[in-house]
Amino acid sequence: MTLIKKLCMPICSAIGNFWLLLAGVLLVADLWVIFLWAPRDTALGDIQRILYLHVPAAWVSFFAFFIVFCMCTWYFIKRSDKADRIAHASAEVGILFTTIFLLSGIIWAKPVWGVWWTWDPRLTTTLIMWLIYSAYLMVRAYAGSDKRAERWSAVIGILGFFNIPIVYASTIWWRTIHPQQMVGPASDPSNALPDPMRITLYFSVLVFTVLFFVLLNIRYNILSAERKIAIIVDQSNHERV
Amino acid sequence: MTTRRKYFIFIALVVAVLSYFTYDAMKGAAVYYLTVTEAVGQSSDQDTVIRVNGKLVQASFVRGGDRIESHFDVTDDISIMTAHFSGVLPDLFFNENSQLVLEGSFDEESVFQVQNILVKCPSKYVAEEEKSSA
Amino acid sequence: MKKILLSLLCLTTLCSLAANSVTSQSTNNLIFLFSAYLVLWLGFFVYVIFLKTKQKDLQSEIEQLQVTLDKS
Repeated sequence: MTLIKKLCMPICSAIGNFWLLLAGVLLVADLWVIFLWAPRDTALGDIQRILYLHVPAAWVSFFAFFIVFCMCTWYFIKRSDKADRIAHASAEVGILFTTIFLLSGIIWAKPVWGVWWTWDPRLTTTLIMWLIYSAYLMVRAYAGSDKRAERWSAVIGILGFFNIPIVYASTIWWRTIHPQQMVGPASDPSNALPDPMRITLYFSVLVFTVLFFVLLNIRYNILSAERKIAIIVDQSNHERV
Repeated sequence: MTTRRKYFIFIALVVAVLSYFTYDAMKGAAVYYLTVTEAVGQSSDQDTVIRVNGKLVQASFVRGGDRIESHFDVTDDISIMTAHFSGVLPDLFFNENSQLVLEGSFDEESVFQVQNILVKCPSKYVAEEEKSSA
Repeated sequence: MKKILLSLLCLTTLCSLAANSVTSQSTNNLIFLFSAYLVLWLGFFVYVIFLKTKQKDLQSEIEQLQVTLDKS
């Protein structure tokens, strides 16, 4: 009983946060649209509905890492602590979405392609993306508030971004088992999604983006508070000496 | 061990793992799969495991006596290649819009011995009509 | 209260989905569909719990600071 209480307490109080609650409600609405409103695909059947979580998670990952790239560049120009913290928060939330994106792909591949994983260009480049940003977060985790670590991770954040256009274009440049883009600038008009599916996908992308910003904001605030506390502790130690 | 040495070791490890993955992905061929025509061109090479992409020739499909063995042809509209597979076929194997990616190697009679079948499904999704009878 | 409402909504959605799918054609792939969405929700919950733990740590650190400040 106490264990359940211990597990539930943080969730309860987290839901007390208005924005998080809004994101949760939107996510439930998204489930409703995906499962009850969107039509079933003729060839794949219900399993095709993974699209509405796979593609938005991919979009949010790319977006999150784009923010990391911008903030790391800004950090190098201005040496801004704020940019460094936004980059850190964005990379962390981004890796969460990339993990979801990769796992949903793996779960989708098994029933449709017949294997969990194959060393296809799209899959390989995505895994590399995941590893690059894991490396980024690990450098941060091991180095704490060391200035050198901030610079190191900013270098990873900038260089790592060059992999993302490769991930995106991998289905166009190389022979791959992965389906081609169905929406967006690189999509082939002959693959266009039927309207209800496209609307569902756009709605899902919107919901995931909102959720991303909510999580990013919470993480950023925590990082800022940690920084402030560290500064105060540092000052009081100084005064005592 | 200093913190700085820890990063170096860590980053070196990540780079090593990444290079290994890239090498593994590119090994054997610079491309993920060959077309049927390209594969037939090197059918004398029986040692290398390759991936071949083609469409199933529906009429060519024959099941063996024990229901596990299957023989079929795949084509890229230029060449045709005979393949043999023993195992459970994936769900969308017979779907006329899907393509197959076969992993395996040629035997002495130039029959492609399939170890693994992957289905490359259509990129186009089509909404199912509302079922009024359901 | 909010939590109960949320879980109810979630449960209703899942149940109606299940009912909807069972009545129509093949159900063997549904386990994959469910696991994908389960991964999504679990991922979010775990992350939110992680954030909440961080926040609690901060809270206790601030309280400790307050105590040391009061003493001095």
